Amino acid sequence: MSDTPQVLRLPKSQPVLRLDSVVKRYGERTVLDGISFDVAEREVIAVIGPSGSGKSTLLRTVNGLEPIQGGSIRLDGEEITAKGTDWSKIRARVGMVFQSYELFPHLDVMGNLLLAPVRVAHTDKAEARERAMRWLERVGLADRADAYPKELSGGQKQRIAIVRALMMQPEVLLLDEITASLDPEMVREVLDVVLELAEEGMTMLIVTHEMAFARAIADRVLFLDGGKIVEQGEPEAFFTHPQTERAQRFLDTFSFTKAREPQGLAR
Amino acid sequence: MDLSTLTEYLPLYAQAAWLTLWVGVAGIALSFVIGVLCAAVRHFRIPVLRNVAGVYVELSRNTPLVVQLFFLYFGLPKLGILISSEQCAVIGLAFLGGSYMAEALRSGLEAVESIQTQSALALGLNPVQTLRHVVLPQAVAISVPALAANVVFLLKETSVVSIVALPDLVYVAKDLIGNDYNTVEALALLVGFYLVLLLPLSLLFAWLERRLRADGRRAKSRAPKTLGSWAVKEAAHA
Repeated sequence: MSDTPQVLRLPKSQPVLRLDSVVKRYGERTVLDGISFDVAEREVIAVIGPSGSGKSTLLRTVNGLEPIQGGSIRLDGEEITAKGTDWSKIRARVGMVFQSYELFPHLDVMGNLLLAPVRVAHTDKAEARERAMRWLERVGLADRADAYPKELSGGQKQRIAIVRALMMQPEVLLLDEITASLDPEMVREVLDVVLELAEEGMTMLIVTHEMAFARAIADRVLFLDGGKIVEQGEPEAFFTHPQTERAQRFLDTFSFTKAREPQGLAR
Repeated sequence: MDLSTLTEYLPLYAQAAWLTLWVGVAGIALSFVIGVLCAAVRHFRIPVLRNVAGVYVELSRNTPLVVQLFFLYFGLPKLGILISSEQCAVIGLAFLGGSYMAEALRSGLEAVESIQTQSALALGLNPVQTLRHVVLPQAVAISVPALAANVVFLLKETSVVSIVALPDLVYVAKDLIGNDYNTVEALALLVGFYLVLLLPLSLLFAWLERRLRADGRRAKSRAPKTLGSWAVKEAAHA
């Protein structure tokens, strides 16, 4: 199995990520209101909550796409929100996958996969190409290396986007509602890839609306509302017995109980 | 139409066509440089300079070339700045074309969605690499049809430079009509020479556009969301 690409794993004694009282404001509006939590190595955290609760913003603060106004974020103990941070270096270590894939339309699949390893990590092109092919085989898209994004289905695009992030061998992977714009039957093929990564020990922070997925994959669930962590815990406990009324109400919106008597001509 | 008159006039027109081409190429090259600078300054919202560029673009696009040339040719000497007819024509063309080039390039830059930039940054590319490898290739592909249309437009605009006493094609035609009354021959050659200059260029650009359109169709990931290059082209000339 030595030729199958693996996620990068380093022995660590400290949390990979540590967020401490993170505050994010847009003008007067506070989007993140003192968020603190640790992410241990190999831990998978699902971030859930209603829209506008700050989930995506939270992910974007971790790789500096959103500057924060208070608190701090540490990656491997190093404060990355300090002044003078070279974000390009940090982002090379923190992978991110977007809801809308954001493959580069002017490059074919291989071009998308090689851009960052070759330009940023200065990996030898042949070596990077080889790694890309192995990843493509793993996600079942080896035959699409020369395809352009336009020629791929949503599910295929998203799998490529995941592989593109993995090509940089990130220490943490941020997944921002990666199945939200997919047709239902394509959700599975993408989530299966993520499940496999979790099994291999990839550290991940996952924003999702797929409750069943969150329950299956996460070591811990963070429930956000109004820019605060309202509740957190193990998925089984959280989904079966949420402690807060707010979380209960949120989870209720995902279940339907039949309120009507059966109608129609059936006798 | 008299054939011997045509052959007699031919060298005069050839010389004038050379001048038209020279002024056109120099003016267009300069206008492209101005366009790149203005588009960059406005797209990246560089303070003060973006306002200067904004005023320039409006001034340039909303005054006729003839007026701009008058200003350069008759106005500047009053301020103690003397320039030749050629310099005047080239500068005038660049002043007019710069704004059109700027708008074509800017609409290309703006058609590339900011999340593409974020996606490149998230991979660890620095801002310069992001511009070079992700934003510019997409922006230029979108801009090319509008830029090409501008080149043809500007080359045609050179036809007014005779008003600053530059012996271009129009000047020669007017001169010959005034001297010899061979109106038909003079006009036929005038039209013929412009066609010889512009038709190959138009055909080249049409071919280029078709190629880009093929690539563009392949390259669009979310067609309905982004402004297509054809919409952009329309917008740039609206």
